Amino acid sequence: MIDRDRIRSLLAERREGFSLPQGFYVDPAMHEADLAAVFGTEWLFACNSCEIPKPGEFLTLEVGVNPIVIVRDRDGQVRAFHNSCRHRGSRICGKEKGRANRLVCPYHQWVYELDGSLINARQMPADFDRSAYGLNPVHIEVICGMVYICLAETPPDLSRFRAGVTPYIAPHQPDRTKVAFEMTLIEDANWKLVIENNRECYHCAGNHPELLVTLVEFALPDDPRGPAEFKGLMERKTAKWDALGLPHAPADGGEEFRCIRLPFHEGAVSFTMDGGPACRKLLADFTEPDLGSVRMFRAPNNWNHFLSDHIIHFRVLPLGPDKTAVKTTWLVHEDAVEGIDYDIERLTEVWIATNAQDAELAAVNHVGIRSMAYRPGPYAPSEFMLTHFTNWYAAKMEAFVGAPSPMRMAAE
Amino acid sequence: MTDGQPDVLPGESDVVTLDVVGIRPETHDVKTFVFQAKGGPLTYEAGQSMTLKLVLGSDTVFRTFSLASAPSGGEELAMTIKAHENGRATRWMHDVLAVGDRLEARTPRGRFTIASRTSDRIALVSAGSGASPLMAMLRHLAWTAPETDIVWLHAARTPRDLLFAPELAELQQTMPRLNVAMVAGRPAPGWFGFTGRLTRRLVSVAAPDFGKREVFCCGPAGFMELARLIHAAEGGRGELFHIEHFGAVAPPPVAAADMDEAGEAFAIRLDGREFAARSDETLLQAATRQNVVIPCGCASGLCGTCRISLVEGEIAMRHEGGISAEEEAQGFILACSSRPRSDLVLRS
Repeated sequence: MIDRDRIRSLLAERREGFSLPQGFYVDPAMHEADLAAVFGTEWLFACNSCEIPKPGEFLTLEVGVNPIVIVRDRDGQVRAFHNSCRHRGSRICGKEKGRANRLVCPYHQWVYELDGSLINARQMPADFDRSAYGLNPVHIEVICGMVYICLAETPPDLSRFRAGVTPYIAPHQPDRTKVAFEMTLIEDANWKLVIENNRECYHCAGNHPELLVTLVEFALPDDPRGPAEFKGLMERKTAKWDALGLPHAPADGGEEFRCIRLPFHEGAVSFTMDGGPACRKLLADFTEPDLGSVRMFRAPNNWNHFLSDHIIHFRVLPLGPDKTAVKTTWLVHEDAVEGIDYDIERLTEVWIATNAQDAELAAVNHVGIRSMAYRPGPYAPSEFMLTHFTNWYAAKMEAFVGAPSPMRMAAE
Repeated sequence: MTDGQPDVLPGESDVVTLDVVGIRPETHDVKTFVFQAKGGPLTYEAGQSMTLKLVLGSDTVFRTFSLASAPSGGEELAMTIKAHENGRATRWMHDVLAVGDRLEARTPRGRFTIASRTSDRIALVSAGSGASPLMAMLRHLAWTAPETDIVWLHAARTPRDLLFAPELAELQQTMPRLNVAMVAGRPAPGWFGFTGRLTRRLVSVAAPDFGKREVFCCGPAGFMELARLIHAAEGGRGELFHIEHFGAVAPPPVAAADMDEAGEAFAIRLDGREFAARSDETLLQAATRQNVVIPCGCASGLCGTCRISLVEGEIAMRHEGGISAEEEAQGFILACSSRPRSDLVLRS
């Protein structure tokens, strides 16, 4: 049972610019609250539509206790449904990914068309109204190939996000990509620690030797901490990107999202151990390999990199108070050939190493926060995005405890 | 590139005399000049070029042109040349040079040849009269390997600037895997090819496997750079992309290691003429500065046109393959790639 007074007192305790009070990270009850207040109300990154390129192809995911299926229908449109049969509720699609002519419940073989309509329910009486028992739809928006879903009855407005990130991402043409590799890591940490860890590179120097071969630690184009070389690097790269018509200055995403194009170290063009391309065949119609990376984050569960030669999506879903699934998906040009244009190991080794290091950092962070001595600590100036994120989170929780019927999702 | 040629002796042994035996228009500003070499057919490779000595009134100039002919058959020596608006030499060739005239030339040379190919999937990519050496390659393949998988990709300013269209159609009859794609910068009614600027999207439509092909490319520098970027972006490997370049190439930058006390000038004697050369400039730069003419082509150590003999003295040479080890052993140097390290005696 979620104690709203407890949440209110934790919110009252919270200081802006400090890590959250202990309860937010480690209370088992907070996991339920987060699922309802954040994951039940917000747009969530689910996948890239290129993961299900053909009609009938589907993928499944779980948002808390809610199984969801995302399927491409016969007209090529991507749809999302609650993956639960309207007969007696059985989960329909069991596989993480697959292809189906129709969605058929394994229990009593109710048959749903790819658009969710119930087209056959054997042994039901002649006057049974099938039209009243279609699959329950889930709100869906596809932005530059990225599929976002929302479980809320009335989803929040996504138009500012769409307008803000599209100019940065569309030139990379995610619609003309395919999955080269994907992996899911189960991290022993609260999902907010996974996000916080991703939102700062204060920890990079001490922990990510592979990543720092290419990644510049600074997060703003005019970062005052940046050495003079960084300033020169920014000026050279941005002049080139301006000439190509590719936006790079930070988008105004407030606390909801962040989008910016930042350079790699001089001479590096991609996330590889030598900075060289990870895929010889560049994305889209690019002929310039040195496009840095568009770094896009959206609260609560998704960060991404868009490069000249590949795209990486990161999806975060909470599994429990101290268990979080992080799925990483690498996309390359749809015509790129493995073994010729790219090599899986070269393409993935930097982020596989980095993910493993981050998983360990988040896990030990979680362990340490359990300590009776834990008190919220101050964010460094370079951790400004953690202030954004925790403010965003606190606002979600305030809305949740203030709402007249916060248990609506759970009650349904 | 001296294979099959007699041992070259210092002096004039690589100079040949050419008779103009035919001139035919290709387009409104391009003509093909057909030559016959005095003393029998020349040995060369498809894609190589020759430097012509052109006497324009009181001036003598040297110009390097690709051969459009192939050594394997057909016309003996042909050059397809555009009359450039501000090009005195090409204008003169178009307006004055006539059948029956006689020219001096250097024997064919150059590394941009079809013999260097390592693949059976080829793309011949050209803009404007850059099609000439590629036509030589295509004609050679038509004779020697007509089954080769070839994409001919040619960019012309307008449809009326298209080169070699009738011959391409003819070659398609004997070359079943020759695919032709033409791009007109500005279209005109009746134009059914591609239109606009060369882009990666256009190339990937015209030749979906462009990145897997070995490319030979000739045209303006900007065009060749674009083609190179497109090839690389399509996954192509750098060693499978070959270009020809001529003409006004900036002198190569002076490497620090090559410079000793800059400003020190050495006395140079070339065939009895004297000029001074500093240690930080090439012999070609020094000679040109002092109005001593050394026939030259690329000015970047590639074409070998400015080959001269070093009779006495020390030089430092950094070339780009325009001279063979044998030639070096025989005492030849490239004027464009050599900097003096002492007083010199040279012979052309």
